[in-house]
Amino acid sequence: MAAVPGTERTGPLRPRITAGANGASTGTGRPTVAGRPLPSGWGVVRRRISNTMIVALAMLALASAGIFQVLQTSRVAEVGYQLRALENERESLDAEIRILEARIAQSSNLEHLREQAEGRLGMVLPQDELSITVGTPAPAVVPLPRRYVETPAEEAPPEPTWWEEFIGSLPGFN
Amino acid sequence: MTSKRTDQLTWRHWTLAGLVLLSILAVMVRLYQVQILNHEGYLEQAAATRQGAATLPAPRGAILDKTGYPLATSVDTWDVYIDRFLWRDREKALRSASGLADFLGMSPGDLFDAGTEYDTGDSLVVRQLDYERGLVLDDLDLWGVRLLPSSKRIYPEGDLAGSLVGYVGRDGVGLWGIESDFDSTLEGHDGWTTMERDALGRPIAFSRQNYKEPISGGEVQLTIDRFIQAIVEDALKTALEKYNARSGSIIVMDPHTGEVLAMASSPSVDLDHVDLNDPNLDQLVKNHAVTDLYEPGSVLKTLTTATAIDLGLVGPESTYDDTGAVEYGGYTIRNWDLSAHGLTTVREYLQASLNTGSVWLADMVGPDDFYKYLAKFGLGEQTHVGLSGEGEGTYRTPASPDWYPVDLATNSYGQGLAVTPLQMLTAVNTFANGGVLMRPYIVSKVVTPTDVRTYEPVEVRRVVTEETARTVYDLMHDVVEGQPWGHGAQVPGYEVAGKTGTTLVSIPTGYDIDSTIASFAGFIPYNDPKISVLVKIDQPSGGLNLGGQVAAPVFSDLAAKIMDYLRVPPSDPLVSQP
Repeated sequence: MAAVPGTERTGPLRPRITAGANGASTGTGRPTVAGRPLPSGWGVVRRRISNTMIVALAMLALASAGIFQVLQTSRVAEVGYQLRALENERESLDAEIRILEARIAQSSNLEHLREQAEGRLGMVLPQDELSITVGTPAPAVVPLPRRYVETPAEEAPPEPTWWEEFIGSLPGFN
Repeated sequence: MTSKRTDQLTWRHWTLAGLVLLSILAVMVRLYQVQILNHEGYLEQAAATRQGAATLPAPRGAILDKTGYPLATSVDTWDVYIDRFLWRDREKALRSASGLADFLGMSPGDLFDAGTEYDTGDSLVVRQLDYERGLVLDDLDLWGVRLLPSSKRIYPEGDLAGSLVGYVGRDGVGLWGIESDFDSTLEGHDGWTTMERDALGRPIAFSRQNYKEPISGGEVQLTIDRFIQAIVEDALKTALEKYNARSGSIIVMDPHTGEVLAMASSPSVDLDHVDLNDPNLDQLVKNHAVTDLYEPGSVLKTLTTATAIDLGLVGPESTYDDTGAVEYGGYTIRNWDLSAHGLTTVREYLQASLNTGSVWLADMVGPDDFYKYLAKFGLGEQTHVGLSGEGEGTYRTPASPDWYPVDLATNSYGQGLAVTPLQMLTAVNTFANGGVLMRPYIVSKVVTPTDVRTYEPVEVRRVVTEETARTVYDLMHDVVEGQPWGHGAQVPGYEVAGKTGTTLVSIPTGYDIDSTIASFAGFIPYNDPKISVLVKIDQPSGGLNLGGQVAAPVFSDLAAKIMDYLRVPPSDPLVSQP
């Protein structure tokens, strides 16, 4: 488990690279992974990529958080505007309801009703005189016109039974 | 050489450095001035620019009739303003004025002049623009034209019950009638909101806001039935024209509950054409049926008769000797037609409406009991119907220093005292209601966002016994239906109970013998009275001037129509026998 030269300066961030598959060196002095030797200078490249990546990832995370914040804020603002628009629409609808109610009232006022009754429907006020003198006494039962009287359907006579037919067929019984 | 020049600062360097320092100093001084010294002022200006306030209008409540029909209601409108501050941009203002003028049908020059007269403030262009037109105008997005929400009061039935319903001024405050008396209930309480605005003036969502919710006005439902009210107003108008009368009042009530079903007065105001500068406006807007006093005349004989019967002094068939005149308190009192009937029963005296009979009864009753009963009938005090300006009525009593014994005699037949029409009908209603005086009421329900109040009939007091009330009611029936020559108040198919009244108009020097007030108070149908009616026609001058000639036919006409409307079946067959 001796430290490989060139990897000692990496400090605590250094990736864990073993000396061999079983913790033994290959004998060449080069670090191995699963028993295969790493290319020469890998430690330096790995260190540089790792640092850059870490910084980039951190910046990406920060940027993502910032974008998320911006998106969320803009979404909230958008919803807020929609909410306000809906409130305005509700107020507008309330106003229209009040206007419609007033129009209904105006179209059913007495003057309008009279105009419609007399002008459109041709109705007239009833006559003042309602007295009727009848010269003949009224019948006890006032017959209704035939069209108002429901006529019951005539029922067919029942079919004669066999013994009625038999007796009827006998001489002297028909 | 180079290092020497680098190490040494020339005057140019010092000058440049000094200028830079001065600039920095100037900036610092200005910052100090803006941020420290004038901090509050600039803060307010910034807030004023950024923050906007808006009024949230609350609609005024409606006045409904008995059937729920709105006699007065409010609709939303817009007030159109020009923002003069924005119209400082004359080029945009000119275009805006042109567009606004096209839309409103106004002169663009006038609008431009109004909008550019000053550089600050708003200029009102149109008040109460229709709501839908306002939305169209708003869509035009004219520069510096603002629409603020407002409302308009409308009266769908026009001038029906104009003096009763009332009117609302431009400031939204009721000026008379129910609109005034129930102003605190009807008025809405506007809300408001303040919010931060963006650069385009739009409210910023979820910014810091202050908000007060608008509270809608309450609704007032009346006992007035618009169909009966229309019948009554039509009958009153026709009567005033037919009899060439100066003014008049008609009241229709439910005698059992005190509900006022219709109340009309003339002259009255046309709510669609109110001229607030009219010098006679105060007379037009008065509800004369409630505010004005008059001498009721012979209608009051029913009260005198009831008092004598209730005290057990007489019955319907009790008699007195009518000589046509009676001496009382040093004065001679005669019958209205100067007639003399000899031995006369109480029933006959009331049918013929004889002054001598009233004096006979009042003399038996005595002043103490007579005035005590007048007070029990509610005369001399407000009925508390709930309308402002209600008169109390007036009469002298023996406790008054200017009371004379003859007052008892004249008061007994309805002269020398004053009542309101509503007082008189309320008192007479007692006879159709088993002797109990009911408080008249005209508002049946008040609905506010937080409360619902329902008004129920109120018994004021028992005035006479049930038996007395029934007796007087029957006597009133005989007044109308027991006349061999008929009576002007009769209604075909129905039996009527009632009493006419005719009185001279009092003037400062006494009475005007050429001017009368003709009245009639009656019930229909007699067997189960649905309505009671008081008709009062002032100073008819068409040749007919008595209650039986003028007021009774008006009752007959309108009572028949109301019976039709209420679907009350006739009590008598309308088909004559062959």
